[in-house]
Formats: sequence, C-alpha cells, structure tokens
Amino acid sequence: MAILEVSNLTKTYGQGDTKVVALKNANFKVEKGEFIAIVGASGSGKSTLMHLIGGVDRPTSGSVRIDGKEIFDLNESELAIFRRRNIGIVYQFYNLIPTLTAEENIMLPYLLDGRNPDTDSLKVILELIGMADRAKHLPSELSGGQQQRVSVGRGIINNPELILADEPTGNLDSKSSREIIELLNVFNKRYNQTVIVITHDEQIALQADRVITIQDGAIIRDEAVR
Amino acid sequence: MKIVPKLAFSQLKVNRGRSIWTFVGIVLSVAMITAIFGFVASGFQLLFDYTGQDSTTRGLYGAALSGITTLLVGIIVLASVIVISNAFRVSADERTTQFGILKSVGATRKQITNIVIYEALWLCLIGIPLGLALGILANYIGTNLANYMIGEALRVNNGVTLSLAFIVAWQAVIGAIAVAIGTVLLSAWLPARNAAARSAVDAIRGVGIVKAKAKVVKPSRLVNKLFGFEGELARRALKRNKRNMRATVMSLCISIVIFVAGSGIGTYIGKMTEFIYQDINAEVVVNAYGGGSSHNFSGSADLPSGAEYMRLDPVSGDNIAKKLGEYSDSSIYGVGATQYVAAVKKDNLTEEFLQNAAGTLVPSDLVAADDLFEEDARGTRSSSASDKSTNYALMLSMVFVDEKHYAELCAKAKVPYGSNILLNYYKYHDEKSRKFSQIEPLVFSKQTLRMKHADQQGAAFKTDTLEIPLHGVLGKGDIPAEIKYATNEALAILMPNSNAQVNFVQRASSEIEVVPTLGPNRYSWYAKTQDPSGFVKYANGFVHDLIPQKYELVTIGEEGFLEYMKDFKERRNNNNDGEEVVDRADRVSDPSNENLSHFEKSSSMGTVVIEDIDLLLKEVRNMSRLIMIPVYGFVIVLILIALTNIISTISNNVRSRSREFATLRSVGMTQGGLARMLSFESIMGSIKALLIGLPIGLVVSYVIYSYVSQSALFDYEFPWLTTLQCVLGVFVVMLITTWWATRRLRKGSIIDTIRTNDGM
Repeated sequence: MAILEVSNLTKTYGQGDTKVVALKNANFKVEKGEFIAIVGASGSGKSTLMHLIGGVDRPTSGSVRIDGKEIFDLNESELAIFRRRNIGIVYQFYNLIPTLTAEENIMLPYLLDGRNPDTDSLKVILELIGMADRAKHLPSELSGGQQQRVSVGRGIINNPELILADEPTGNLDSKSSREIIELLNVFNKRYNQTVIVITHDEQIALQADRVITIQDGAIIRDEAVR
Repeated sequence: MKIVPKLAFSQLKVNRGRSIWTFVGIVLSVAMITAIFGFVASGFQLLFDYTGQDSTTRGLYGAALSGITTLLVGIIVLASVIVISNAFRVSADERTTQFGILKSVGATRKQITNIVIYEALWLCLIGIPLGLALGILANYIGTNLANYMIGEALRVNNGVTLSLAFIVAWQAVIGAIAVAIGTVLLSAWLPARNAAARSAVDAIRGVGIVKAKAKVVKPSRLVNKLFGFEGELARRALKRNKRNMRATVMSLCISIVIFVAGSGIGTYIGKMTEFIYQDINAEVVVNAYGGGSSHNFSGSADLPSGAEYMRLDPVSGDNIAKKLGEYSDSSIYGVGATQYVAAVKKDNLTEEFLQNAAGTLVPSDLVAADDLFEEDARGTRSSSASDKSTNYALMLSMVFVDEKHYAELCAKAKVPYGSNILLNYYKYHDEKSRKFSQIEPLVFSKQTLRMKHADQQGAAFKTDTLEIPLHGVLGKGDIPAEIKYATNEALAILMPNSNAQVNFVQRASSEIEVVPTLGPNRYSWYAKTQDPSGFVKYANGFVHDLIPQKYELVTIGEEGFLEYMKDFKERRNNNNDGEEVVDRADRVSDPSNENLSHFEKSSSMGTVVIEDIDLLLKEVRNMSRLIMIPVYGFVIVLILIALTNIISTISNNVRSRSREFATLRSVGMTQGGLARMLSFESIMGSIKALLIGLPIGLVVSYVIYSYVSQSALFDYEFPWLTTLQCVLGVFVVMLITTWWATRRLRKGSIIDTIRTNDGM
C-alpha cells in the first residue's frame, strides 16, 4: 500500500478577480522508502503542496491519504496529534523555538505529547546529526547549518511515516547543504524513511529516486531518475 | 517542567521589559482590589457595631456599601482587563511564527492557548501575593490615617467615637485573590485564543504581525503642509493600522475619564464643605437645645419623651449674651426660637410664596386644633384662587434676641421698644434654577396672628391659642444673618424678652394646664472673636452652670399627656413612622417609667454645645481631604496601570516596525525625520484619545455633579483647569514614551535591522 496518496488535490485563494489557483488537481502516490524531490520555479505551488500533504493547510478539494488514513477527515486537534506522531516537517527557516535548547527542540514532538523519548534514541540521533556536544545550546548559539541539522533531528525523532522538507538547504552554504542532504539520505537509506523534499538544488534532485516537477500549480512531470 | 509551562516561562524571560511592566500592572490591580475589599470589610464591621440591632438601617447602609464596592471593583477590573490583555496580545503577536512552528510540529490549538495562559499564571504566581501584601499594607496605613482624622473631627462635635478596625478578613483576601486571578485570566484568554486560531501557514509566512489594511487613503493636503511628508506617513500608519494604536488610545481614554471624574469629585467635595457653614460669620457658636436630638419628641436614650417642653427664659438668654460679651474683643449675637403653627388667611400671603413654597403648609389633619382657625373655615390647602376665605396653617418661629440687638431692630423697624415685629423672610431652594431664593411670605398689615405651640412636624399641642398682634415689619434685606441662620420656619416674629406674657391674650383651656411658652426651646449665641479657642475656654467655664442641663419636666396632668400621645400616634399612623410611634407610646404608658409621670416647669435645656466654627471647618475640610485620599489614590493607581500598558505598547510598536523604519532610512530618511514621524503618530494618537476620552470624562463628571448637588446645591462649573491638565498630561506622556522608545532605534545599522528575522 502506498504510504502517501494524493488525489485531485486543489487549493485556490481568493475569489473573482483576485482568485489564485495555487494547486490544480495534483495526483500521485508514494511508496514507503522512496526519496522524492519536488522541483519547480518560485510560486509554482510546491510549498502549497507540501503544506497540504503535511496537513498544515486544508485543501479546497481533493484528498490526502497517509498510510491509508484520510487526514482531512480529522478535526484540527486530531490532525495536530496525527502530525505530531506521524509526520516530520523541516522548513527553510524559522524552524526552532528560540527559547528551547537544541535537545529540547529535537524532542518537541514527544514533549507536546507529554512524554519523554527514551534517551537512547535521542543519543543516537544526536550522534547522527553531529550535535552531541552542542545538545544544550540555544538556537541563537548555533550556525544556520547546525540549526537545520537540529530541525532534521526533530523531524525524525518520532519515527514518522513521512519526512517533509521545504527547501531545507535554501539558506545554507554549500558545505552545510551537503551535510543536510547526507542526513536525509542516511535516514532514507538506513531507516527506510520516506522523504519528500522540495528544492531548487540540483544536488538534492540528484539524490532522489523520483522527481516531480510542478509548474503553475500543476504537476507536469513525474519520473523516476534511478 | 512540562513543555507548555516551560515555553510560557521562557517567553517571559525573553522580553523582560514588557514582562516587568505587565507584572507591575498586575500587582497594582491586585493591590487596589485587596485594599478596597479590606476597607469594605472594616466598613461593614463599623456598620455592624454602630447600627447594632437596627436591621433596617444596617440593611440600607449595607446595600449602599456593597453597591459602591461593586462599582469600584468593577471599574478596576474593567480597566485592568483592557490594559493587561493588550500586553498579552502583543506578546502573542510577537511569537506568531513560533506558534506556527509548534502547530506544524503538532501542537493543538489548546496547547497554544495554554502557552499564553501560562504566561499569565506565571506572572500571577508572584504578582498576586505581592499585590495582596501591598493592598493589605495600603489598607493598614489607610485605616490608621482614617481613624486619626475621623477621631479628631467627630470628638469635638458629638463626643462620639467612630473607628475603623483594621481587619484582614479571610473573606476579603479570598475574594481579592479570586477577582485578581479572574481578571488576569480573562485578560489572557482572548489574545490566547486569537493566537491559537491563526493557521500555521499564515503564522510561518509572517502574515498577521503588522497588518496594513488595503484601504484607499487619500493624501491629506493639510497634514502634508503642516507636518511634511513624515506627517503624511504618520497619518497613514494610523489610519491603516488602527489596531496597534487602539490599545494605547483606549488606555489613554480610560486614564482621562478617571482623571476628570476624580478631579470632579474632589472639587464637589470641596464645595460641599464650603456649603455647610457658609452663612455663619461667627468664629464660635454656643448652642443650647431642648432635646438631645433634632426630633425633640422622640426621646433619646438619655432624655425621655417630653424633652420638648424644655425652655430657656429669654432674659436669661440676654444675661448670658452679656456675660459672653465680656470676653475681650468679642461681640455676641444671641438668638433663640421656638416653633408654633399659625393660621394665616390666604389673601395675606404673597403671590411669590404661594407659588414657590406651598410645601411648607402644614396639613390640616396634623394641626388638629379647631380653635386655631376662625369659626367658618378650617385650614385646607385649597388651590382654587377664588376661595379667599381659606386659612392656611404655617409653621412659625417665635424669635427672641439679646436686648441690645432687639433695641436695634425695633429702631430699624421704626416701632417702639417692646413691639412684636414680623420678620418677613423665607428662604427656599428653587428646583429649577438650583439656587436659593429669599422671598417675603406675608403681606404685612397690623393684623393679629393666631397660633398654637407646636412640635417640629407642625402638630399643635393642646395648649392655649395665642393671638399675637403685629406691630411692625422688617423686610428680608433688614434681617440680620444670625436670625436667618437660626430660623427655618416659613414665618418669624420677633418678640421682646421681658414680660413675655404681656402681649399674649390667653384663652382658658379646659383640659390641660400647661404653662404657655415662656421662651425659646433653642438658643444660639454667635460670637465674633479674635481668639476662638480662648473664648471657648472662657465660655465653657460658666455656661454650663448658667444653663442647667439636668432634665426637668414641665407640669402636666398625666392623663392629659397620655391623651396627647395617643392623638399623636393616631395622626402619625398615616405616615410611615407608625412603628416608631408605637414604641414611644408604649414607653410613655409604661407605669414603671417614673420620669414620665410628672413634668415640672423649669428653665433648663437638654444640651449645651460650644462649637468653634473655625476648628469645625478645619475638621470638615480634613474629613473631605480624607475622603479624597482614596479617590485620588484610586485615580493615580489606575492611571499608572494604564501607563504601563501605554509604555509597553509603544515600545513594542516601534520594535515590530523596525524593519519598516530601516527601509525608510535606507531610502534616505534621516534619523530626525524618523523621530518626527513617530512623534506625529503619537500626537495624532493623543488627539484622538483626547477627543474620545475628554467628552466621556466630562459627561461622567457632570453626572456625578447632578447626584451630589441634590443635597448640597451648588452650581456647576466647567472644569477648565482639569481639562488643561489632561491635555498637557496626555501629550507629555505620549511624547516622552515615544522618544524613549525611539532611542533604541538609533543604534543598529540599517542593513542589520532589515536582515534580522523579526518574529523570533
């Protein structure tokens, strides 16, 4: 069964003269363990698509099924809880809560659930993202690349069905970018995590198994590159 | 610590400045609420002690006290909620992106709401206890202060001691805590909900921090000309972004209203105290009354009923006046009076009197003395103009003055010494013009007035009917102030002191043998002196010996007196005093009460009081200042609370638009230009606040005036000074705050500011 199923997903803003169709009838399926890159020009609808998949926004019409579950059947609270336990999201910036340490930021999904992750998984992840020695630092004490690494760590700590990343390297220099991509790759290959990344970056697109191209709100190409 | 409280707590640390201001606001609100509850508890205790078993009075006063408390606490809560909730709103707005992240990671709306609410709770953790302590302290200081001032004021006058007990009633404390927590939570709740309702996507995109309405705003030539382009920018900022300014403007409005109303109260209280003793131009007054209270016939704890019959022989009155006058550099005016009810023909009354003073006519059933009126017509209050033969029953004062002044007045009236002179003067309060008017009630002719001795309600005693011929008249301009002050009845007749019976025509009365009045049942000596306190000592030395204050009764047959009381009771049962009358009658008919079985003729009075008017006025002023302290305290604290909000809002406003300012600077606006623009914004905001707040404040002040002036009757004066102070205050506050906030903008390079992520 596909881990993600997007059917006829449409999102429009505004009405009449100021109507904007951000996404038009998107349709595709994703299997578990795939590494997908979504590419397209600015304003093509990539971010909209990702927000919808993550349940962060609601569509005008259409559906998103994650692991068989129709996520827009859930109400807002249920969706939030679902997201907390099943989806990892990484944005281009503003990812971290500035008043929490790196460690706490990583644990955020658990903390919101009122639980503590077992310290072993935390340690493993800290090692993996290379932040073991900076675990107690605040975001303001970390570089951009380090902050993004922490974000990625947060994205996977709850062992989600899906990791969604919106231009995760957009704000980073090439070295940091490579580190992030490497991380995503590790999670994908080693832990069989499904990863969907929105990107301009060719490097990332090259790492992906499949590239979906969006233009003017419609998917114009969807091909496996490996 | 759980994540939600932890996030709330760490947010407080981030913006220390605002957290501190909000904290101060909370502490002040709680302190005020606690202080008020505390004072009210003391007040209730005092009420209980004072009214004792009288549950009606206690109920009445208790209700009034509760009403005032609710009003005051309500005002504080309202003002606090408006002010404090704005602080939380601003705090929540600042963290919009953060909330967006949290939502993306999976926080529910409830969790986001709780973060803001917890922020409030953290502040309360220390804020409420501190506020409580402060409030209790204020209460303690205030109570002691009040006791000191009240004690001084009341001791001299009544010999009564009232004191407020300092109570820390657990009900008051619990109540204050409950109200305080309620206020803060209420303040935090709405911003919390709004923050939580924003969608995650909007939040992350940064929409909603500084929104500008897509309104078409035409450029204003006037503003441009006066203030330049910066002014125009300022104007547009205000028009499009009302929300930011709204809180500041509202806080200012509240402050203005409170300030104007509070000043109004202060002015009115001041005027009321002036009003009380306005007519007396003496430094000391020695007062002697027949009874211990104003209702002579009610019988107080010390003086049983019948104290009405106590008299001071006017010759004694004159002697005392002479003796008092022996004190160096003093001049004395002695005035004594007693009340009668007289029959007056309608066509003897002036038009003015009939139109304005009909209320002074005594109802005929109260008079109940057939022989007072002529054979045909009984006293009725007929309003038909054609009925000229109607008699009215009017209250009348029989006045005696000391010899020296009596001679003067006879000369003024151009009548021989020993004449009865009509004092043609009546003072009443005109409802419409809200002023006091003096008119001449009687059309003078050398008529004879029939009258009977009466109690203060106009009920005639079963005594002889007197027929007093009028020999002369003095108009309202010729009557000295002392006499006017001492008499309240509709008519007054000045009688000679000695041989008071000479001018009476007595009719023998069948049932009761009561010696007709020999003289006044109240007597006042007005002393003008350079040395009031010395005079008081001097007078105290002999006056109590010359006027015996033991209660001595006038002879009356017992049955006759009981007869009178029954009559009295029947007449009274038609009014509301029914209950009281029963008490009196029972007391009277109780045979074990020895005092009532005999009355003996005497010349003695129940109470002699020497009042140092100067001192009295000082004490009354002290009392009024005392009342004003909590009012001003209230006003100041509320304004402070509003100030905390204004300061934090403006600071925040400036900070959140730092990018906008940096952009302006990068395009070439000077620092000075920026400062000017912000000053204009604050000026325009101030003007708006004044335009709204001042009218409201003035209206509130006028409403208070209309309540207060019903009893004190002074004119309304537009509070120019207060208005001016208000206007200046508002501008000063706004400009200083803006200036202080923009100081921070001077630091930091342009590009850093633009690049900085705001919202983090």
